[in-house]
Amino acid sequence: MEKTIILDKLKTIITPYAKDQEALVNLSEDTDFIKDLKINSANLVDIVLDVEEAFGIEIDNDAMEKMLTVKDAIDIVQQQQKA
Amino acid sequence: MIGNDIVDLQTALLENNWRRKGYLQKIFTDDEQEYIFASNRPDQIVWLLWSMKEAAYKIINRATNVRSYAPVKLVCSIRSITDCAATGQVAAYGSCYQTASQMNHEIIHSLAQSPLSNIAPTVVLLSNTAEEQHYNKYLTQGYAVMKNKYGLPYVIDINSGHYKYASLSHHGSYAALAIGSNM
Repeated sequence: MEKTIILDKLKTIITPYAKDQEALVNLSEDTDFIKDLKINSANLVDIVLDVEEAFGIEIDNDAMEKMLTVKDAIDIVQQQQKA
Repeated sequence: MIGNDIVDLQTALLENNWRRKGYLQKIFTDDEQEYIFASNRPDQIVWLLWSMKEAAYKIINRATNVRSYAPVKLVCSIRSITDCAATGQVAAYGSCYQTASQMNHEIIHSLAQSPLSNIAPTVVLLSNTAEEQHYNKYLTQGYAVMKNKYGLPYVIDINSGHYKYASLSHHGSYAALAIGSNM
């Protein structure tokens, strides 16, 4: 799947959990879920579950461990879709 | 070193649906899940265990400068628990972190320490604000809260000039500052 399409879908998923609206408006691959978007760490699990549902993939604990930025999430989606 | 974590239970109730399918499996070990469901107050136990993991993670993150999101690798055990307090430990990456938690109907606060010090850390509970100057306003006892280049907090004891380890946590309407030993 194209990166831009993944990014668009991710933005929709992230929106209800993001506490920093400015970081959400300026969302890019470098955006950090906790540092920039100020997402509560207990909501990161919701994002992982939403991503699994939206893309029809499974994110195991090893992959989740590294999902700190939007780029990390895009990489995981692309890797899982190839698998 | 110390780490702390506060959970605003009202905010957790509104924003964190731990009963969602698949949610607990991504955060808790099988034993922890069993402990939650065996309890007659699962809503409190979920966030007690979560706050213990977060508190221990803050020490690990500070010691290694590596960020990761692997809650299942931080394994909690409860040593003692009452309606308003709990002690336990979090085992992770070959180390153990001792925890002490306090709870009421509004909040759960956990403090993790490694190594365990004879001098109990000071915990200052605050009404929430993420703004550092507010922490400083509360600390009229002669402490100032600072952050290093990694964004990790420490305090300066203005009277003695000593730097002390500190940990900050905020959630919902509450915040907590824990002050530990000299750096």
